[in-house]
This record gives sequence, structure tokens and C-alpha cells, in this order.
Amino acid sequence: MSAAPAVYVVDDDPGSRRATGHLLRAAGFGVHLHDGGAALLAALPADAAGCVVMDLDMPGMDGLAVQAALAEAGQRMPVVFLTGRGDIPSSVRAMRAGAEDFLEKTASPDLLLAAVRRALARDAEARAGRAGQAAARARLARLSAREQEVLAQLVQGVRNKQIAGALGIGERTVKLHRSAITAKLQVRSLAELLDLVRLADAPPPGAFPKGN
Amino acid sequence: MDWVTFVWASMAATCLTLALVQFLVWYRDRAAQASLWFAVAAVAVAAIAAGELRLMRSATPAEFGLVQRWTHVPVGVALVALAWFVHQYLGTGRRWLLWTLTAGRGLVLGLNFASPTSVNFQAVTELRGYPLLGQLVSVPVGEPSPWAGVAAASSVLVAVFVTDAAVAAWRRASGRDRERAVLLGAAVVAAILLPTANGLLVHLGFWSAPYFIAVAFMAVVLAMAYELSRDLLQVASLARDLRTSQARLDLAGRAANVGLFTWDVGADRLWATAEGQRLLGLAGPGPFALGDVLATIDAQDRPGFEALLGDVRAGGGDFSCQYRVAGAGAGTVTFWRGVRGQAERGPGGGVQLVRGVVLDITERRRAECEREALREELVHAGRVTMLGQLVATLTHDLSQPLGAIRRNAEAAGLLLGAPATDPGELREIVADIRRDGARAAAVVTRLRALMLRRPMQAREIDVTALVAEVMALLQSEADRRRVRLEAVVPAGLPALRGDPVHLQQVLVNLVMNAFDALEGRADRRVTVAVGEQGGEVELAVLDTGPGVPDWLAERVFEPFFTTRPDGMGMGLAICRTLVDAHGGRIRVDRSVDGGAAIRVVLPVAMPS
Repeated sequence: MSAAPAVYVVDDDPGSRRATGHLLRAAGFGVHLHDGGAALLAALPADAAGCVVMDLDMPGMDGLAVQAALAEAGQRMPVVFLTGRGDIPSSVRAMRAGAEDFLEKTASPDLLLAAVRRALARDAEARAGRAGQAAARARLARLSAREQEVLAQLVQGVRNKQIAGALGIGERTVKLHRSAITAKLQVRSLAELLDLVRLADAPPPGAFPKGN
Repeated sequence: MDWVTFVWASMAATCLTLALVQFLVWYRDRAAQASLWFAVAAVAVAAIAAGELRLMRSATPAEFGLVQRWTHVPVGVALVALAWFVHQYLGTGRRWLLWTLTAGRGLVLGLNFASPTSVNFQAVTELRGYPLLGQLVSVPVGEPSPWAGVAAASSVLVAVFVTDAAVAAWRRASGRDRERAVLLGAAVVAAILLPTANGLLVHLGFWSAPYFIAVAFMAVVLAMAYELSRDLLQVASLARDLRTSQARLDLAGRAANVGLFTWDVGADRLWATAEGQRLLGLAGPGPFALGDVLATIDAQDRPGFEALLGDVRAGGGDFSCQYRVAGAGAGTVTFWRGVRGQAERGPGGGVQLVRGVVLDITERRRAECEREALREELVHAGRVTMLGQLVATLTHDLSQPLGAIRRNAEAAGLLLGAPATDPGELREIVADIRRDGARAAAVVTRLRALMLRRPMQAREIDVTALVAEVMALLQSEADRRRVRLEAVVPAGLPALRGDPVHLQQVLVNLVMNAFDALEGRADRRVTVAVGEQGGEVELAVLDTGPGVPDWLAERVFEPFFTTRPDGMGMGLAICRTLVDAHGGRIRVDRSVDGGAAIRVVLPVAMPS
């Protein structure tokens, strides 16, 4: 794999596709050109990294349909849409569906480069976030069933005595479980523990950052 | 001088005078063959009169016989010429009978000269005195010829022919012409039968008398003279009528702004009514020639006018044309003239006379021009409206290459700033910029052609290129609407003649309508199918929409007919106007898929 971040260009118009490719290559990105959604989906590795620059108005499968198909296939790369028509209804739908950006085909190349950089940054960030979450979940998975029950009460701010009552165990036992949790998760304070749980429980970042 | 000489000489003189008159008539007008025959008959009658006078003055039987023998020549000529005269004058009579009697009379002449004395007498034995007008004239007694009956029969045949011709003329004609047939027929028959009977009785010895052939023929000559005088009177009255009708014609022509003219081609003499002279620009008293008119024709129209004249002189028949009068200069009103006429052929087959009318059509032309300008404006408005509906697509078609050019240029800028640049990549970018520039220019050119407002210009159109242009214009609109747009154009189509922009407008309009008809349907296809048949090219736009019900098939072409709430209803009306202007037809029926099929049929351009 090359070090340059990958940009997948999807455009049915050869002139437009090649121009976008030239620009992105000259700006130092690793460019992959595809003439339609089907070609893109067939070529992508699982959970590909990078971003997609895609024509909105393509015959057959249009940009919005390709975007939906990408999500379906578990591809979470941000999408920058280009359009030659710029009609409002499709742009609204695209943004709703989580498009990173929406540009006119005649827009300044600087804008396109900026949008691509933003999209790549977001992808990297989301990817890092997803990696952190996976690690947090793996740490939590090391706890025993009883310890997880205790943790669930703790996160909600329940006191030891009440936890003991709720679980039908002694207060001392609760304290033992607490220190075992702290040791297994390698956290130094309650605040750190809460952050870890929140990270693991959060919805996976990157796929629909703005939709909610 | 004695009376007999006076009377017979007078008859001969009268006959010669009338013969001269009729001969001159024929000489002037070779078509008047009746006059020629009459002149021949009258000269022959004069000769008969002279012969009879000699017979009556004969001193010996031998002299009588000799004169009689030779007098048969003018008698034969007179009979045959009279028969031909009747045939020509009345325009009737059986031709075979005419030739038979001509041959019969030839036979009689032959027999006459073969006989010892004449066809009447074997020999004249003695002469007797016969009192006539206070004198004794010689009458013959002799041995009758065996052929006397043949001579009489031949004369009777002439009488039969004349009777038949007169009856036929009487049956066919009416009024004055019937009278003429009866008078002429009766006079000729009497002039033949009476002397024939008289002669037969003399020859057979039943009777002793002079022949009186000339006297009888005088009846015919006088009857003809009477007819002639009536003809002369009629000519005078016709001339009077002609002057009156000429005056009426002038009046009517002036009232209707119509001028009449006649052009004698051979003499190059042009005659025109007063109004005709005014409209043709003929000033002064005349006489006029065609060149005087040509000089008044505007230089733009003169070659066309001269070409038309050439055709008329070569081919004859009816013709019509319009021309502009050579103007005083720019800014003045242009006057238009319309000429309509007929060329008449002479006997030689060439065009001899051209007759016609000339009209002032300036007002009509102005109204036509205004109508034409309005039509042009409407057609242009229709085109602009149509392009308005295509704005999203046209924007797309333009922004595609323009955006590409911007990104390519930016890429080139970035590469030039980079430390190590691949010149191959730069070359590729430049080539792409060129290609996209050309693409954008093509869109603009196509647009400008449709946006411009200009009068219809006819030229040869390549159908394949025409359809390709329409496809290029509408392909991305089809993509936008998710319609499959296809063209089926066979190879080797003949060229059309017309205005390509107007035909493009028609096709674009029809395809856009088809797009509209497909709105909300599952199967969305539009096909532009071209076909050729019998000197015509059919451009059909077929869709898979709901189709047009039969009862609307005609109405859809009416102005303001629309099924869309936002439609003006002018699209198809304009299409029909444009197709009409190209001499074609447009109609609606069903496509094989049950959708609408709009068919435009256009005539193929004539190979020039």
C-alpha cells in the first residue's frame, strides 16, 4: 500500500473523471478512477480507507444509490459529491445521507481539494475513534459477569452499599469487585473508568456523523 | 353591242371580280381555304361564260364541237372547286364522296377528250338559230355521245355531295348558320341540276336551247356575294363591339387594378391596356417592346424573369411570376407586380403570342411579409421556450467540460510547481483541456444556432447528421429523466431540403414531449426512427408512454392544446407549421409498444 491517502473518483463522464484524477494526483493523493458505482464496489477492499469523490448524476446507478450501496457493504468512507446540475432536492438528500460535501462541477479546484482533505481527515479520525472503541470493548470483555454487573451499577453512580443490596451480596464483596475492575482495566480513577465505558458504548463513529 | 354579249360578258366580269376579292382574302390569310376554292370556281365560271358566248356565236358545227370540247375543262374545274368550297365553307361533307366526285369529273374530262367531238356529242350535225334577247344564237343538233349519261351522273354526284354536306351543316348548326347552309346548299344544287338536266335534254335531241350553265352558276356566285356582304357587315359590328368591350375591359381593369397585355413574340411588339401600361411601367405613346418592361424590373428579379421568359418561349403554356419594380433607392417602398399569362403557339408550333394580366401585388406582399415575420417570431419563441425547459441539462452539458478544464488547469499548475514533474502527464492534461474546450464550444455552437432568430434558410440536410445533433442535445436530458433514448438511422439516406435548425426544433420538441409522456412510468424508452419510402423520408418519434387517443390525434396539433398544467400548447402547432413550410406532413398514431408515434414525413431534395 502506498503512503498517499486513497481517493476513489467515480464519474461516468471520461473528461470530468480524468480531470479530477489529474488534479488529485498532482495534489499528492493516491487516485483510483471508476466509471460507475458497480465498478467502485467491485474494486474496493473490505473497510477501505480514504474518501470517495463521486458524480451525483450518473446514468444507471446515480450517486445517491452508490452512497447507499457503500453503506450497505460496510464501507464508511466519506463521500464528496460533484454535480453539474446543482438541483436542490438531490443535494438535500445527499447531505442528509451523510455526504461530506457537495460541490458544483464548475467549483474552484481549491474547494474540491479542501473538501477532499477534510473528508480524508474525518476518515482518519473516525478510523482512529473506531480503533479506540474496539480496544475499550476488548478491555471490558475481560471482566467476569459479576464484575460487569457491578460496573453497570457503578457507572450509574450507585453507592457500594446499595449495589450490595441490589445484587444480594456483602458490601465488602462489592469493594473487592471494584478493585478487581480497576486492576483489570488499568484505570486510576473513577473518572477514567467512566470515559472508558462511554467510549465502548458510543455508536460507531464515522458512518453517520451528522445524521442524528 | 348586243344584249347577249353584254349579259354574258357582265357575268364573266362579275365572277372575276368576286374571284379576285376571295383570292386576296386567301392570300392574306392562308387558313381561309374556302376563299381559294371559291376564287377557283368563280374564275372557272367566268371561263364557262366566255365559252358559252363562243358557242352561241359559232358559225359551223365543227367550230361548236371544238369550243364545247374545251369548255368542259372550266365546267369540270367549276364543279370540283364548288364541291371543295362547300366542304371547306360549311366544314361538313363526306371526304370519300368528295374524292370520288373529283376522280369522276377527271374521268369525264378524259372521256371528253377521247371522244371524236365531246363527251356530249358523237358529232354535231347542224346548228339552228335560237331567238335570245332579240337575237338568233346557235344551238346544236347532233348525234348524242354514249357517255353523255356519265357526264350527267358525275354532276349529280356533286349535287348529292353538296346536299349531304348542307344537311349535315344544318343539323349541326343553329340560327344564322342553318340559314347559310340552306341557302348555299340550295343555290349550288340548283346551279348543278338545272343546267345538267337542260344539257341532257339538248344532247339527246328532246330540246333545242343554249346551255345557260354560266347563268345557273351565277346564282351560286350571287348567293356567295350575299353571304360575303353579311360577313362584312358582321365584321363592322364586331369591330364596334370590340371597341365597346375594350372600353369596358379598361374600366374593369382600372377598377380592379388589373392590366392586360399581349406580346407578339415574333415582332417583339407589346400591347397593354392603359392600366397595364401603368403597371408595367410603360410611358409615352408606344409602340412598346419587351425590353421596356425588363428595364423596370429590379435587378434581383430580372434574371429570374428572363429565365421564365425563356421557358415560356420554349415550352408555351401557362405561367406566372412576381417581381419587384426597380426602386428609386433605399428607404423607399418596394412595389411588387404579379404577372400571370398564357403563351399561344402559332401554326409553326413555336410560341407566337403571349397574353396575360399584370397586377399590383404590393399590398399582398406586405401582408405576407408581416405574416411571415410573425410566424418567424412565434417559431423562435417556441424554440426559446423549448431551450428554457432544457436549462438544467444544458447547464450540466456545459459545466461538465468547464469544470474539467478548471481542474486540469489547476493540476497543471500544481505539477509545474512540483520539483520533479512527468512531462507525459502534463501533455496528457493539455490534450484533455483541448478536448474539453472543443466539447464546450460544440455545446455553445449548438445552443447559439437554436437561440438565434433568423428567417428560414433552405439548404440540403444530411438526415444522419441532423438526428445526431438532436441526440447530442438531448442525451443528458434523457439521462436526467432516466429515459433510454435511441436513434435508428439506416445508412444511405437521401438528403432533405430545408432549414436544419427548424427541423431540429421539430425533433427536439417531439422528443421532449415523449419524455413528458413517460413521467412516472416504469418502462421509459424513446426511439427516433428514420425510414425512406418513395421519395420521402419519415422521421418517427416513438415512446412507451400512454399514447394519444384517436379522437385527439388531430387536436394535438391545434394551438393552445395542452395536457400539462404549465404548458402553453404551442409546441406541436409550431411543429406542424414548420413541417408544412418544408412541404411535409405530421401525424400521430400508435407505436408498437402502445405509446405515441409522431411521424414527420418530408420530401427528399431534388438532385440539382
